[in-house]
Amino acid sequence: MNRWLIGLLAGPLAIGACKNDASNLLRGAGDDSLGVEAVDPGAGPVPAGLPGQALASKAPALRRLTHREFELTASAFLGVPVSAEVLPRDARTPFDNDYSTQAISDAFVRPLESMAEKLAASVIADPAKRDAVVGCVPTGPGDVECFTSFVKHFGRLALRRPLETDEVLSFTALIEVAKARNDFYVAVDLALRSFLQHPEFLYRVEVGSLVGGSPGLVKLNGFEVATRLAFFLTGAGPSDALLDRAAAGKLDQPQGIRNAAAELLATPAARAQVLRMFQMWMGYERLAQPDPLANAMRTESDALVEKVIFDDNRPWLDVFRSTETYISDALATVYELPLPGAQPKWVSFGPGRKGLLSQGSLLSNGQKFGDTSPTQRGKWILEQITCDGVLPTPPGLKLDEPPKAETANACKHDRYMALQANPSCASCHKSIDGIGFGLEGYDETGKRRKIEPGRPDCAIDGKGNIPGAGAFSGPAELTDLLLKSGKLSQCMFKQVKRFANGRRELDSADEEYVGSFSKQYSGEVKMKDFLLDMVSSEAFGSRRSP
Amino acid sequence: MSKNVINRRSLLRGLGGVAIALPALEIMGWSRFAHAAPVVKKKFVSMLAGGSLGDMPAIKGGNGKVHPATVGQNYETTVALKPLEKYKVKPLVGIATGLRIPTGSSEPGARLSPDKDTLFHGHTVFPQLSGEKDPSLKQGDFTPRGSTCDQIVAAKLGAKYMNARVQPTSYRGGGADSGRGLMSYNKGVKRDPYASPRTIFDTFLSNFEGAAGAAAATGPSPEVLAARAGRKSVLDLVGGGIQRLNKRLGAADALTMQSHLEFIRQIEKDLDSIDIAAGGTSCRKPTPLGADPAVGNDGAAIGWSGENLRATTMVDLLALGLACDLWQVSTLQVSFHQVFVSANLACGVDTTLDIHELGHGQYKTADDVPRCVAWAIDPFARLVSLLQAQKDVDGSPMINNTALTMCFEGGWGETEGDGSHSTENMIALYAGLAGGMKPQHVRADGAHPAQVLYSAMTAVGVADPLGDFNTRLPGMFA
Repeated sequence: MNRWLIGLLAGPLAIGACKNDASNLLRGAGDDSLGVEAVDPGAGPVPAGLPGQALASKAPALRRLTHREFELTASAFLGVPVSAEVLPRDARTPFDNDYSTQAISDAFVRPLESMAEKLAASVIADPAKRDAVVGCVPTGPGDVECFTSFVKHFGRLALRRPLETDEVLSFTALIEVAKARNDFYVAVDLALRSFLQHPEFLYRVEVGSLVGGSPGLVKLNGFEVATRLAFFLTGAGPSDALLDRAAAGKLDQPQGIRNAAAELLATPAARAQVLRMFQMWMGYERLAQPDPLANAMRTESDALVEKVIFDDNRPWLDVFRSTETYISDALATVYELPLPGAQPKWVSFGPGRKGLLSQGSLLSNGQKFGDTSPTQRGKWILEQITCDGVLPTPPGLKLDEPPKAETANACKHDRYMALQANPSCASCHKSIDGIGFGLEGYDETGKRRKIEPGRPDCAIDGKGNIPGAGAFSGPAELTDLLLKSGKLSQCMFKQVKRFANGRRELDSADEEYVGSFSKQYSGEVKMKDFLLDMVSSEAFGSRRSP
Repeated sequence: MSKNVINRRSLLRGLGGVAIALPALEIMGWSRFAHAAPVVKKKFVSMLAGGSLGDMPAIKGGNGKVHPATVGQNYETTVALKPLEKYKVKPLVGIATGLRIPTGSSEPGARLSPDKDTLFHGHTVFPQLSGEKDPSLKQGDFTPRGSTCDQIVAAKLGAKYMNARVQPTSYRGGGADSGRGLMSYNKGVKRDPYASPRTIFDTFLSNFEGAAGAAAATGPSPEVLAARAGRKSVLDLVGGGIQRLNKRLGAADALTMQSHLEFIRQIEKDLDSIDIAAGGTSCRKPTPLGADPAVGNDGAAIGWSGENLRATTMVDLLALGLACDLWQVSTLQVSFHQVFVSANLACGVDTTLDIHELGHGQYKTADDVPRCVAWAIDPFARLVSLLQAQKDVDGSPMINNTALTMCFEGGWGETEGDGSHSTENMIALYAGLAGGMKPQHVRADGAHPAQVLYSAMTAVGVADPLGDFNTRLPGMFA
């Protein structure tokens, strides 16, 4: 009997248990009935033509867990809520897992020690949770067998690999403390605190083994693949079941990884992870609007992404094309639509709006000087949605004051247009601001407007253009132009790659990797298919040393 | 048995408890430090306020809102300097004025970019704090190549240090912990600050009894010793894990782990030399601390997270830590480079703008910007007053053994800036009597603000260069 089931079922991830049987990989049921080489019908076979090892991403062997990863992972195997707020917060680039921004400091290490102490105490204080974590009932303070089994099992979950014999012994020596203090759980407490601060818990370790004939190329072992897979798709470390698969060698081949990934993608944790990826990518993780409007805005966007990608499993571009949206009364008021009533509902967006780009959450991006900024909005679209990027701001420009026109008290449109009259500014601002001008008919909450704020004399025409693509007015027409450009999916490949890499910078191998996916899909792509293809490529199980 | 099995030291640590209280006391060396002669340690504090907080063009010309006109000890208390009177610390505080960071030149500590605006924020900060030329032409990359003054001093003195910040998040632009919320680097590696007073309290002070506590006479209680022994056992296992992992890593990753291990070792060292006997009589049991004020408006254009209360609490904690020898060196960043903090809630100015925009000529009265400079100076003055009141281990006022500095992101000027974005006419405050410092108004036209910091470093006995600087600012010493 797998006694670890006692406890792990009580953990927070058990919420997925009744949703879908596929949550075994998170719940730790130890079900490894699927064969390594067999094709899981839900996963499908690994397609030909996916990026090979040569296109593995550059990555260090260590990457520290983010706040979110720490919280999800620790709460999963401790069975108690975990907040990492006391640790220095993660930078966003736009994702929170950019290892190039991470550094270790006293302000991380010391509060972590305190946090680990409190977490362990909270587990020990609750007999049900404690027993679940320990997995056995000790016969006395010095029950070495029970303590050893706890160390082996918990240690494997925490370090994401089996412990070596000498490592086990170093932990089980703590039983002497339990004997001296006549309390078995003193040793459990110390072990929990040690694991929560252990480097192989705090850092994702990808040492792997060097691939002969390919300098710098490292093939990850099965446990490292399980770790990479779990953090990428669920935001948390691997479960018992996934580690079991790694131990059985079932993650050594792409098909085995694909099968496991398909199961993970069927879990609530994967939904939450994908939604969060979109929140950071699309700039609505944190919204400046006060609640309840901010919550309503985030809920609207989450609902659309979840429906398209998970509920309906439609082509991912439908997040831009959808003519329906999920709104509450707060947002209906903003959008000037009929109130849905007590609960949010799916409603028709009506004319002029479609998809994410019409939603208040995305339209909240690009504010400056107390209002929307055509420059900032255009820049945001070019950087985050089409991945065209913009040139660095040239030296000597005044960025901290609103643009000025020759005419005093000029309208905002004229002030921004004045930038285009300046030869040194024109080339960039023409390509950037045109996009923002086309969205000016919508304020930072997504509400339509016809005049500039506080300037009844300044009418907004809301007409914009993308050089080389055409003119548009409003987010629906902008969406049409972007869809026509074919850039949206390629940008999505890049953004997901950045998220998977944990690094904003994409090098030439990464660009080639992204390009290969652009070639891979002749038609439209579903996000889950793309994620499955990513993780079952040879490149996923490898890294290049920086 | 494998040599990697828990070592005897760890085991003894883990065995701490009532039954072994006496052996544990010996292990901890309690009797040694309980009777050790007190040693006065020099203390170094570096503070920074973001924002363009200098005098504004419209009020320049010596109207006395920020810069005092009179040099020497009897300088005027300008609007910006009112906190010095509020806390009655003016005789202990000096001000250097007329400072300038050269721009676009090869002069020491210059901002390399001639750009006055695009590369302003943050790019003015580290030329001061590290004394280096601005290392980057890339907007938003403020990282110095070397170390900031606090890290240099801490390394030289072998001192424990604390990096703290009042403003908890950036609000607009750059995310919660963009580089604009940093003021400490060690050899180019950032030192994240503690941004929560509550976290500092929980981490360092929650079980702290202070020098006046019962434990001062008898030594720590068996329960305290047991808890401490448990921590040591845990840290041993963590350190062992790091060393084990390091054997499998390449050089770059091993450096990361080595750095991590050093922080673990510092905690261990602190446990060995901890607390009560180290401080003087001013090392007292702290009053319990409530929750931090809520972080507000994260991601918004203008934010407010109760910075005034945060500043007061943070300063009180810093002072207590100095009194109890929890740290000897400290930084405190009052605000991010650019200050998207509500000027109304912070400084009581009649405006809906943030402090940064106020600095762009958006003020209504000539007092508005100086009042926000005063807001930034208030925690500095409070800390000086606390250190004046606190007794060091030899019974002398702690301020006698301390050097404090406070720098600002910008000054004002039309030659190399536009008034709001300039590194001309900058000011820096200094305080304390360590090393013969003489608090007064030092008119130092054209001097680099890093010289003020370097001078303060020398006041605590550190003569290592601060980046490009190795000369004192004349006038700061008697």
